Amino acid sequence: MKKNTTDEMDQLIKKAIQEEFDSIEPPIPSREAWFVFTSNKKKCKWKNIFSTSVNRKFIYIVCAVIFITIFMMTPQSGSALGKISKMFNKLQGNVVQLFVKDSEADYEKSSLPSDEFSIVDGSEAESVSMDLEQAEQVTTFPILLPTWLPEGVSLNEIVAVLIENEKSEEVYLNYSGDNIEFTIRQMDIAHAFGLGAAVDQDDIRIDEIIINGHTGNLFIHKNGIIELVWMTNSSYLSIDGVISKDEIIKIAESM
Amino acid sequence: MIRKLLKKDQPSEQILFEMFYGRVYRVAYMITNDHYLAQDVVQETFAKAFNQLHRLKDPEKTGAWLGTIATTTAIDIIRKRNRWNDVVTEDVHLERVISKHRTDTVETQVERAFLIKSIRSHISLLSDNHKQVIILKYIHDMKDAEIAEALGIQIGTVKSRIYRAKLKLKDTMGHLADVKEREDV
Repeated sequence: MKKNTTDEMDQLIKKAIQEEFDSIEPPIPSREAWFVFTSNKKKCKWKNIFSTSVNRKFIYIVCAVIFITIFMMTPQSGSALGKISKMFNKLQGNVVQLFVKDSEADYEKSSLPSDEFSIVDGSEAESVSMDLEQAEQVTTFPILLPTWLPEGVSLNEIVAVLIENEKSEEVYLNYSGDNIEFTIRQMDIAHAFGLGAAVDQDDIRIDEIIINGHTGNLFIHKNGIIELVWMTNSSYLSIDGVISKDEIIKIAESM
Repeated sequence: MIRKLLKKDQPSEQILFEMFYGRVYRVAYMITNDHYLAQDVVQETFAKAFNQLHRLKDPEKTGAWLGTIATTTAIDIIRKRNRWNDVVTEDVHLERVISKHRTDTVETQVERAFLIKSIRSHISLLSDNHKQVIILKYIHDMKDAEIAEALGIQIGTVKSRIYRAKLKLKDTMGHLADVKEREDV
């Protein structure tokens, strides 16, 4: 009797639970719920990417690299971070970036350039051809002449870059001979000097060469032109023209 | 289809989702008594299911397997919510029960139907663990041993929870019978 009552009670409970279960209507149809589910899954994917600590660290590193890159690309940062700039003298694909720098002191002391500018009368540079004696008088530095030259080669022309009321800080010596033609360029870099260049290695081969204890770069162009660039403590020197590698080095070492 | 699901085939996932969506939602709602929470439970249940499909031993019992995940997920969600807002949740439950109770006593004429409705209104008053076992037992027709294995608890615990759940519902029915008698008088 008691068992019958218990069974009946169980049946009642089961029916009640089943009825309660069946009475519940989902607020949205299954198709719509599926779209909600898939869109949430996509959001979660992104959330997971940002949530794991490893990924977060990676994102911080990427942001830091982007920030440093942008900072380094800013023109004002070029002189302020001269030492770091030098580190960028490295190979990037086929392009070599070259940075030459002599002194940082003046850059650090100088104030930032103002937005305004003006043209000073007579400040434009002028190239003037002259003889050696005249050139030595107008330049701020003693002109270095090579003591060795290939056979048949002689000095043809000396050109000084003059700015009115100022001594020349730049001079060109043009040499030529049988099938040989080259120019020696000298610049006074006693105060401060720096230059940068991007060179495509597909067109130019670059060798590093020591000239009288100073490191220089030899650029061998596809068209046969050779250029040698080096610096002493007070001068920037370059030789370029149609000449052999051995000859150009020999000329440089004789200066 | 299970093979396709294991390979994360999206059309197969959609078929499974749409097949069991209603069932999972009802289970979720029975435990949470909240449509928004129930929808969260559905989302989480299917997300877990698709990630743990290799654990499904018998494809014919997919419904029961999803029901187990849904009940466990619902309980977890309620526990997390209750840490922040347990009073409100309880109030919502009570209000719902009282309103259903009033409706039932007024509208129901047949004693059996009255009792069933009363039980229904009091299912929500059961503890989450008790609701979980009676849903798995009476909705998914799972045996006590299967429930124990699915929930990772002792079979004795399952029997004890079912017994206590039924006892509470019986007590409620007894109490309601007294109330009805007084109303009739």
